Amino acid sequence: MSHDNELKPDTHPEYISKLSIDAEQWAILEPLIKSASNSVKMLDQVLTVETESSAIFVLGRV
Amino acid sequence: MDNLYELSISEASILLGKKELSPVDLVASHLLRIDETDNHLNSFMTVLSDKAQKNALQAEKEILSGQWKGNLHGIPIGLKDLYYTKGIATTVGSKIYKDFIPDFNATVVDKLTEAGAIIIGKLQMHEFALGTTSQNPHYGPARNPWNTECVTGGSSGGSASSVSAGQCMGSLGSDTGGSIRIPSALCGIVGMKPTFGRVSRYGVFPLSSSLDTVGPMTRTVKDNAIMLNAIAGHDINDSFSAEHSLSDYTSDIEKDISGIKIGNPQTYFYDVIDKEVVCLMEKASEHFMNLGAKVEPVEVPILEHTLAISGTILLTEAAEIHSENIRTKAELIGNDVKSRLQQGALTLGVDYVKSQRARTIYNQKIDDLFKTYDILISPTVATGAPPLNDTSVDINGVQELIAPLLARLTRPQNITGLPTISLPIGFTSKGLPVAMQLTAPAFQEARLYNIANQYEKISTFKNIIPSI
Repeated sequence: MSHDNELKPDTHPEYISKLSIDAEQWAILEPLIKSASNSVKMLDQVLTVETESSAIFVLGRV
Repeated sequence: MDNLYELSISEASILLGKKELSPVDLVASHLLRIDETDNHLNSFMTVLSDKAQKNALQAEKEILSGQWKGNLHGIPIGLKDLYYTKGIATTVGSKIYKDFIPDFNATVVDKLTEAGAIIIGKLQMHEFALGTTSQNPHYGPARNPWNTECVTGGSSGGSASSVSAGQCMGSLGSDTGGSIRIPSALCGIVGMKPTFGRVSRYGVFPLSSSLDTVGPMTRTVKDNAIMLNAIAGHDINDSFSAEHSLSDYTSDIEKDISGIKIGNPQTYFYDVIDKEVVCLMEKASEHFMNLGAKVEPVEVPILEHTLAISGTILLTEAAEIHSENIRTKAELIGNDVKSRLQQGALTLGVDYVKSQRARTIYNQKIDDLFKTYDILISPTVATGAPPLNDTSVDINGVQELIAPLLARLTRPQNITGLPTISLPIGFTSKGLPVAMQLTAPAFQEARLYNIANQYEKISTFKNIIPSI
């Protein structure tokens, strides 16, 4: 399955700079972000077209 | 009793109501306890000695003149240092807000003082409430009363250590990914994360708008119910506040629980966990069966994805709240919190929405489980309190990173917003507390207090204060 949400931060150096992320900090962040992004991709296994994208959650159904 | 600080809220309130105990003496005992122990614990950001003594004197006058306000009148309570307190520094555990002095009280602070509680101080926390250890680079670590070389857990570390050590009788914490339950578990006290929307968050410095919950931390289940009675309720100033009927959370606390059905999720909760915690959980299940409950193993669908769901939502929403701080004051933020906020800022909108969609599915699956079970039971934290400054801990021969490990078992309940109480079930061989958490359907806090109280009555882990 292809994904259109691949993070390519090296193509947005100005944005990264505004977040005070230098090369040293990026070395810390990059594996964290890649790992988190990969985990989110796994959610495709449970998502179906009929789920509501706008729903936050259901509470109060007692 | 020699040491008044050893009383529980419910014990003290009976004596106060009968005019057999003075709030002045009660507060003085706690202030002395703080003096004697806080250089070892670092629980407090600010001790409000003068205000507390003045308010205790006022409470004494009111009680003596027959104006007893109820169970919290004259009771010393601490606040995590993210609750707005008018005219009193509120640092949020941060260097950026070290001089921040709110000009109004959080709704829950007003509610506590209206109930007669005496605010004794502001409590240590993980910076911005964004961490699980309460090791704060600006104000030092909160230290665990059961072993001061170990973490308290976080982010409400000072809220837990102060109650555990007898520095105050109850406290307020906040719980976005486990920040009430984790430190409550590691410090051996009772912590309640109420239903999302049950307690107002107005005037509580936010971390994650769709996950933040505030709640009480105490040494007994009944004390916890007493505190929730005071702070629960709708608040027009909090747009997420629920207009749901209120209960007296102490009224059903003695009800028989025989016949209740408890679901015991196995996969995920027992995948990465210390064997000693597993043994204590098995004993806890046996206790429930001895009380007449049915405890059955259950499988919770998509539980394995909850870390991805909660992590994405939490960090993205936190990055939005702190967007100005990470752009203009990043050098003032501790390294661990800065990295988490930057990670959140770099999270794609697509991933955030995907996580919210998956959250909806997970919540529906949990709703389905409650058609069969009254509550769910699980361990709160997979280990006893780890040593300060360690980054990993041995779990059955494998080194696990401490920060994510501590929140691994608490995050699923923030996704659902369901009420969850953590209470002690024993100690590790190193003498460190271990806890279980019980989760109920929305707004069934009274049911949780009932079940937890029945357990507590047959356990030996109630209102124990360690020597410091």
